[in-house]
Amino acid sequence: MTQPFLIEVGCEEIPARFLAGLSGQLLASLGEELQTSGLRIADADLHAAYTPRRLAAWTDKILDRQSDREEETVGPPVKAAYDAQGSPTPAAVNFAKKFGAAAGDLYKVATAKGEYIALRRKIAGQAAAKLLPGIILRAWSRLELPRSMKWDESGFKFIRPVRWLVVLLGDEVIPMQLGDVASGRQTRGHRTLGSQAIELKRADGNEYLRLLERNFVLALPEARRERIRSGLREQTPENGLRAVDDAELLEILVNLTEYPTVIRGEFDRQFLKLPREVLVTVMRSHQRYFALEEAREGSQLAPGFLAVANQDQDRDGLIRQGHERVLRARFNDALFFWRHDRKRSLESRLEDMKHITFHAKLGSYYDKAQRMLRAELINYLAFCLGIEQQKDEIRQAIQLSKCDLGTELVKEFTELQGQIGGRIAQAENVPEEVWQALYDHYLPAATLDRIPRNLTGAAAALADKFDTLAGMFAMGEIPSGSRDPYALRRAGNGIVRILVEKHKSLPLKRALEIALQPFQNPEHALGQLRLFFKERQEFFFQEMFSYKQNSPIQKEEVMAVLNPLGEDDPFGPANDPFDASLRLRALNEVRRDKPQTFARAAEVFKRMRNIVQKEGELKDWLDIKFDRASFNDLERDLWKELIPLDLPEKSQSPDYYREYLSIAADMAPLVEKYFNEVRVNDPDPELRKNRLAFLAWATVKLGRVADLSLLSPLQK
Amino acid sequence: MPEPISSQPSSSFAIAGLNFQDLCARLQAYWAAQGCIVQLPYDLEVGAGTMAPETFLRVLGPEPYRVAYLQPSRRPADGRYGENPNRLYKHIQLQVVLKPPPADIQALYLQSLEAIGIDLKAHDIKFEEDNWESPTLGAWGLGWQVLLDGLEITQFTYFQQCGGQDLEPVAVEITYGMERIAAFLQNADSIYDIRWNDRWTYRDVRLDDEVQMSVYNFESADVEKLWQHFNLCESEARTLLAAEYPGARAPLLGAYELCLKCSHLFNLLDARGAISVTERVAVIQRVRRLAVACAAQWIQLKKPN
Repeated sequence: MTQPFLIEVGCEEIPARFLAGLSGQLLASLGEELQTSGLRIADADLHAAYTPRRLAAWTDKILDRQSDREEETVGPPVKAAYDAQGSPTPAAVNFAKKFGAAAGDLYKVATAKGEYIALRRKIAGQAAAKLLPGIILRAWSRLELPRSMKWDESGFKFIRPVRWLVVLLGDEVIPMQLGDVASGRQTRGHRTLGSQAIELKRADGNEYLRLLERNFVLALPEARRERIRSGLREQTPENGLRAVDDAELLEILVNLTEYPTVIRGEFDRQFLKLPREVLVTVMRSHQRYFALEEAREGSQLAPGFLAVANQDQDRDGLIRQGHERVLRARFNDALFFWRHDRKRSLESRLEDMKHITFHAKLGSYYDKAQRMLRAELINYLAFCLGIEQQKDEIRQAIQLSKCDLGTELVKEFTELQGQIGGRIAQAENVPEEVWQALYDHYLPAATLDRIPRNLTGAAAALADKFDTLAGMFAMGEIPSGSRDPYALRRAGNGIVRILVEKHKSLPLKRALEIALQPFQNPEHALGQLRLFFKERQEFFFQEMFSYKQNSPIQKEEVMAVLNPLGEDDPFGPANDPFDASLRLRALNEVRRDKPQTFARAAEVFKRMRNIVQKEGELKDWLDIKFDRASFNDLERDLWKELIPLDLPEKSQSPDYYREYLSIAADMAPLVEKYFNEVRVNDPDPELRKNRLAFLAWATVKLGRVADLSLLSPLQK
Repeated sequence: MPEPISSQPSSSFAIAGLNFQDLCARLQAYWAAQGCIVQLPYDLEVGAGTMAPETFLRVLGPEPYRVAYLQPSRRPADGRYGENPNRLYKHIQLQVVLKPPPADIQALYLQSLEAIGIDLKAHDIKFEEDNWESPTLGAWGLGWQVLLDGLEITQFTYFQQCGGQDLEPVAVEITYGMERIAAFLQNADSIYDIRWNDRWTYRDVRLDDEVQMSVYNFESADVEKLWQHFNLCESEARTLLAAEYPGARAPLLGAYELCLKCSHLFNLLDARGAISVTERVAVIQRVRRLAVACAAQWIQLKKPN
């Protein structure tokens, strides 16, 4: 027999950001506990619904009783169970009696410890009604909660108070408690529009959804999402006007309402004087409104917004009026700040930066700007980015970059630092290249965020990040594990991304040496930064690069490219992220063209390297000059083939690397032939030495772009 | 004489005339009817109603308690010389504390909005996550800001810890922002346009206060003397807390008032820009130490022998 089952936990408003996750967890743990208890029916789906005030789950059928099963219980050893006559002893009789059986039911089993007597018992399955409270409590206790709270004397904890509980099996209430809250069959509708005592006759998910909807609760998140989406369309009937697309905001509103209704509001055109960023931040982050914009390229904001109310309608227009008034007050504040901040030039604020601390040990933002402005750093960045004619612009952008930190607008909207400065500079008629540069210099602020749009901005961003990293590492503030309070990893990722995506070669070692000049003990920090940047590139190339390039990059390929052979510089191949990205792309592509060739090359080259390394360090062998005069024919062939394989000073194109890697991999058969026919460990010590030195040279030659021996065969 | 205001308004518009003092009276009467003591505002400078002993100390310990009181709350750094229509140096809170919280506390709260004439069916009410933590008081709780048509009108918090003590039972704190609610009811775009009663406005009553105190807080307060006051208050509080007194005679409230003074002096120093980022944490720590010691002593004093 089966029965439908439904549970609803009614709460005070659960925070929007945790709601969907909690519902998912509950569904999963409930499903597993039903499974473990043997009540779950494989083809009966478990459904979930949630709103800020409830977490619900149901299924059309679970077994109303566990099936019966047999269990073997082992008793005393046979020696103690039967006397010399073979009759059961009191020990055996008592054992049987304990389980309601007779001595005749006993039988012998062989165990590791010897022969014992045993009894097979039939265990009757328990009723679902009896098992469900335990199942639910176990599932509930498995939820991983953020900071939770107590609200009554039961001491029961949850993220917000639990106020009612519905647990139905068929048409029966399963009696149980969560803390002090006892189960029943009453649910509640919308706080102000619905009934607060809705009877559920039976565990029927569809009936549950219908009843709630009648009481102004859309319990399914997709229903609320759809109602908001269509509301956004209906409230912008004008041609050429649309809500600014914002999936994140949409989800927040889905999880903040039980019955969402989109309401259109307007604001005074005069506020459009404010920077767009400020308007959008107020509407989106502070008020959770969708901004309105013209539906075309480079679209301007329109003087209106779309609010999502937790109501069925705005009968008297009061809700619109209220939201408009709040927004007006917020915009008035912002306009007040904007006018106040515009009374002084941005440049004049540089002095104020002396009073704003960047870091206790690293001084003020003024100090930071001065470090970033050093000619050596600007010259180097301008050179590497190929904008040596723009040094003045870079200087101006850096000079202004921190000046907005003292403005009222940035104090109010800290998340807009940089952007506010950029907008003020724009209003002061600072050249576009420069205001955009300081606007962008904190970018990328997140993994998938955009990067500075122009190269002056790239230079300012790099100067800022190199200075932060150099200073922090010099002060011993090195990220470890989950501890990275100054977001240094993000700064490192940002540098790598800017260089790779702007296609600029910039040797990190030199940049860091320059950035470290103002600090004590630069050698130690440089060593730490070398490891740091290698890690950052491993991360970037695997996660970010494969995401952006849309082709799976394997960890092995990243390791092969970041650890090529024959690098003397300790910064080595991780020194130039853009170059590493070219080699990686080339390897990734060419390896997929000829998987078998590369599989064979990996094997052969690994063998070759092992032969040399068995006799000493690869780099030591490289120091030994080999004599071509003692080559045999095979060695001479190999040498001739390898000679044209050479690296240019700067490649700047993956084509060259593709060709190099392709030729190198094609050499595998020749190398293999060499092994098979030439005895490297010749009895003549001079010849042996010559061969090993030659082999070391060849190994490095073949592995310079990427250590191909690190690659395993590609799976189809 | 102003017209008497009907207690059952027919629509939201009918009570658009609820003036500031009637609003305060209505809400106090509502909570009085829920069994709250209606206390007077605490007669010292505080940054929030939470800091008055009626909340900070009364939430400690097992005894049930229900109290409501208006509390002028001073935040020197928020002053705007009376020039900003939405920001004040001193605003007025209505603070309601119920220990333990009744199970229908949210419904009780919503009814209080109806009691001041807000038709819940005609407005958009949201409880949006807003957790509260006061490093100075060693206190935290979970709760919401209540949004009425997008306007934050109330902080609603289940206190979990106060003065470093776990609360057993917990208490609920409901803090109404009275100016905002009045501006909402009166459809006023500036706080200063709120009608205090039917003859005088908020501007008439409070503008001088905002202007003069902004000048004092931002410009005139003598930083060196403020530090001296701070050090004096702190050391006296410490002495009081360390001394031995028989029975229930320990002058704990005296120590707590000195702690409140330190907290306010800290806010003044902050408004004067006299506290650097690095110092900040250390000064907050000093105030917190006093608050935590007061809470511990309060529990000790209240313990049945």
